[in-house]
Amino acid sequence: MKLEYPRKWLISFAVISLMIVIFYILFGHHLSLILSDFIVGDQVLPMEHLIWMLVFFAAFVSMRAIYKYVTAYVANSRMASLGDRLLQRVDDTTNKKSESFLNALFIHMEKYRPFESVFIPTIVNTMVKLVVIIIALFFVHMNAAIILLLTAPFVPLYYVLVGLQTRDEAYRQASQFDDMGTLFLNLVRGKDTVRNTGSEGTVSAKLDENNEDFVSQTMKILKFAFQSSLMLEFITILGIGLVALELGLQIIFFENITFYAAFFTLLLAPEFYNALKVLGVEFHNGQLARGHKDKINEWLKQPGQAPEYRTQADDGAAVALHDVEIGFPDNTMIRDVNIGFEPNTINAITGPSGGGKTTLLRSIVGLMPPLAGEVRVASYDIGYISDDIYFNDSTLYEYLSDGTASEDAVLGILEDLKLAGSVSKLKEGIHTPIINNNVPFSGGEIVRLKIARVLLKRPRIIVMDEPTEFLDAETESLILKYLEGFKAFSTIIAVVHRRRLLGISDTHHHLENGQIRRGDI
Amino acid sequence: MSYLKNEKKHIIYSIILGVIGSLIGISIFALSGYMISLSFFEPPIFVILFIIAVIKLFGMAKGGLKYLERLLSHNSTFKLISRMRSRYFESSLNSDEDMHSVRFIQTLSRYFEDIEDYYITIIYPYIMAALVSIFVILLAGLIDVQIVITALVLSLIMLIVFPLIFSIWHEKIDADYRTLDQNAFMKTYQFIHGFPDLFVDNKNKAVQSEISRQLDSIRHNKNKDSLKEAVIELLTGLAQIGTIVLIIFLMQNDDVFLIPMLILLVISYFEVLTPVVEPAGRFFNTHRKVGEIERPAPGAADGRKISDESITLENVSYKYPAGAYEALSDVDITVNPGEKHAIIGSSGSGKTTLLNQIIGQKDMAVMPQHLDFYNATIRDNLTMFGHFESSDEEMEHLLAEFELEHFKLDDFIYFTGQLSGGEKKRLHLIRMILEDKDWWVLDEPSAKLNRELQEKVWRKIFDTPTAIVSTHDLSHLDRFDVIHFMEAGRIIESGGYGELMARGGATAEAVRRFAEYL
Repeated sequence: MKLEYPRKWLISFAVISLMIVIFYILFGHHLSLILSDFIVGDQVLPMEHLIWMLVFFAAFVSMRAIYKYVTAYVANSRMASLGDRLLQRVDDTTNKKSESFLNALFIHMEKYRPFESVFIPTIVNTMVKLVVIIIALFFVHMNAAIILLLTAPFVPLYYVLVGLQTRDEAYRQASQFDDMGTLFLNLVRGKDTVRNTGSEGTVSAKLDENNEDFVSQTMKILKFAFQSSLMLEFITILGIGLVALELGLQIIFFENITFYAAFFTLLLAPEFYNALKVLGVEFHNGQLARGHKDKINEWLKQPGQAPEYRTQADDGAAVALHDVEIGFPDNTMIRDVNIGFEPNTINAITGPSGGGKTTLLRSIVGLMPPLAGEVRVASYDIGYISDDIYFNDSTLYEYLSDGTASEDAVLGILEDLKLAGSVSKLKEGIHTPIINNNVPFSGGEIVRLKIARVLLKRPRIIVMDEPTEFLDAETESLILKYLEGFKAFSTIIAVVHRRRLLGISDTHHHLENGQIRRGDI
Repeated sequence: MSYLKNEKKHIIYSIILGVIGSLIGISIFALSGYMISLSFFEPPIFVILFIIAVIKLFGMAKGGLKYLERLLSHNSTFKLISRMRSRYFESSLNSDEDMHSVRFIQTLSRYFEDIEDYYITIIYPYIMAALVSIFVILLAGLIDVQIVITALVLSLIMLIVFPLIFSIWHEKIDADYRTLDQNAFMKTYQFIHGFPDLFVDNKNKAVQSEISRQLDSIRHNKNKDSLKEAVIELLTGLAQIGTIVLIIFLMQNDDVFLIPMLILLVISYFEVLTPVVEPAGRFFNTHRKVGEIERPAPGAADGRKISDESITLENVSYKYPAGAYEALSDVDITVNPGEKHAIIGSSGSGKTTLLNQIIGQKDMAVMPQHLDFYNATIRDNLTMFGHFESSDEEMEHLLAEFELEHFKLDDFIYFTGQLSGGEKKRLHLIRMILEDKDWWVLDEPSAKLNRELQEKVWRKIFDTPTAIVSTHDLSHLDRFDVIHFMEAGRIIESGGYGELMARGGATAEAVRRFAEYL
């Protein structure tokens, strides 16, 4: 299996692992010497060896702890930067798939984390351990090393034959569903409909049935996994048994093995097999974590935020489009757009829904690079009016003033726009924090808030997406009144749904069938 | 723990099996050590062979026991979780809480994962380690009192002192994590949903770096958690070497012959103790989270379906728990069988809140604002898992009528994001047709549909005896018996189409402006 991990870290991990194993072997060496002196020697505690044993064991456990921390530290840093990379994929279309994005950033990332923080360090550490123990045993007691080498291949062989099947099945099951995928979770989520349709009994029975399936499916997979560990256990027992038998025979018949070598061998052999077992188990976990990485990768493939593609030139038109083609690589929505919007004018755009009106506005605002052509703006200072608002946990004052206007100015404009009444209903007036976008305003009020903001900020260009829902009469007349006023300091480009707005426009463009043409006024 | 009742037997068996397995594991090591020492005193060959054979048999037995123990404990834990799920779902049916938020569902999912962790990695291994420790302490009695004390002190440190200390540390790290995670989640949610405004204001980069900083705080928190785990490893390692040295000192004047056996025994006893320390440190924290899922048993249905023919709301006011204002104030409305009512008004005026007050007053089919679909086949979604009787032909015919032929009845919906808003509207409408009720309540039934489909939806609505519809689409307003115009949580005018048009109020104004729509 190929590890997609920076080589410098893999090498560093291997070096630390090497130190850990060497310290452990040195500890075993001194422990065996002490016991050898005790049992077959002069039965006096060799202080020197005891101290060395202590030193090496302390070094071993410290190194092991350091390894754990360092590898997790590296993994956590890599995860944080993966999160940053994911964040760069957010653009104005992400809200349509926000659940999927949030899952990628908060669920799949957490489920993938063990791959980086546990799986990779364990694999590196285990590999080093296996190699070093075999080498050490060749020096301590060669026969044991040969037995280990001969029995070891059974473990990966077993995994190749049986384990792969488990893995594929588990992997399929894990990746088949989105994380919200269990029926239980979406029934809890959709309990209102269950209640409204009076289907509580049927659905509860279905859930019980589904639960039974879940238990038997899970147990089927676990059974495979447990059987694998049982087989590994047997292979281990066989191996260690063979080593012990060989040692026993050596001691009694041939009397050519020291106590030191016998004990040391018996200390290292189980370590070797444990390492093999760990490799088997981790292989399984690692594979599951990879399914989650795939979900993250789907998002990393998204184009994400476009760099600034517009050019800025303050000569003549407020916004000019030259030979612009808009759409997606496989679906061109609008062709041959050549329009200049003159300063201090109101420009209406009409057309059937789905024809690309909003897409055109998006490319003017800087959210959507055109497939071809040039988008030139007189200024990057653009205001945006729609019936969609999002408060980032700010207060109304912070939202409207944007850090520039005074409290009096804000209150004055709210008064002009007949919003003072609605605002006074809020506990702390314009200073009420609006948390979680819990917006206490109607569609018409939101449009008026947007107008208030434009009045305070006075941007050079105003882009407006007229609400498709009907607005209250008051808001509509306010829009008409203020839009005319905006001409004094700004150029307005508006997607328009109603004749009255068309009536105050200086130009009119109609967008239909991918073509934009001059419309009547 | 009342959930344990049925699985109790299995769990007890699995613990017994686990304890025997661990003890056998320890004796394998002890026997190996004994054998080495023995070998050097030239015992008869059959003794050595006998010991080796016993070790092997023990090993096999240990493996087999472990296998059975894991099967039993996992099986009973998953059954337990299944029952908790069913119970949770049933009690959620009686709750008026809105459970649509992604965050809520994610937290719930994590809590259920915690339960698995709670039993399988925290509780069972701990009970086993504790029982094994008792055996080890008793066995130590065969050697001498000093060894008994060593074993006792060791198990107290590993099973009580360390877990308690790390419990406090873990508590702090986990509390921080939950706050950080929650904040980062909310901020990201806002970033996604507020992106167009943030971009136009040139603030998107600033918000993005703020989330980056929060992710970095999560990184620091994770590092603390890793530090905790590293410290646990270090301390348990030091406890292990301390014990080995202590045994060498204690035994040096006694029976040196036993030392290799005891040392190997200590090493394998630690293999039982070490994996328990970190999970045990999470016990209290997880215990509390599990408690949050244990819900009271569902009570009897509240029988709020009123059998009265008509629906009447009198002076109804409603305030959302978190809201600072009244979403509905002093609303009066009466709907008689056979009438069609329209509720109109700008968004945020209280139409949906009013409908929510009407829903549940009677046996009716409902199209709420938030449409629910489940990870199941199209057939199960349409019939509510077989609750509504319908033939495949009927459903296929309806799918075709609403231009949904691309769905086959056996198609599986894997996640609801797979359906577009318009598809959800139409699938839900088919669901309502199958439900076959005389009363319909619908929130924005024609939104997100093209002209032709809107007409089909309206036709179905006017074919139903009684309907209450909230809508922005005024194209069929003249066909309603009563129209209610809402503004700021109040019904400001009500009446028949002709009457309201003649009056020239808000409704007439809205209809006039709707006609101007291009």
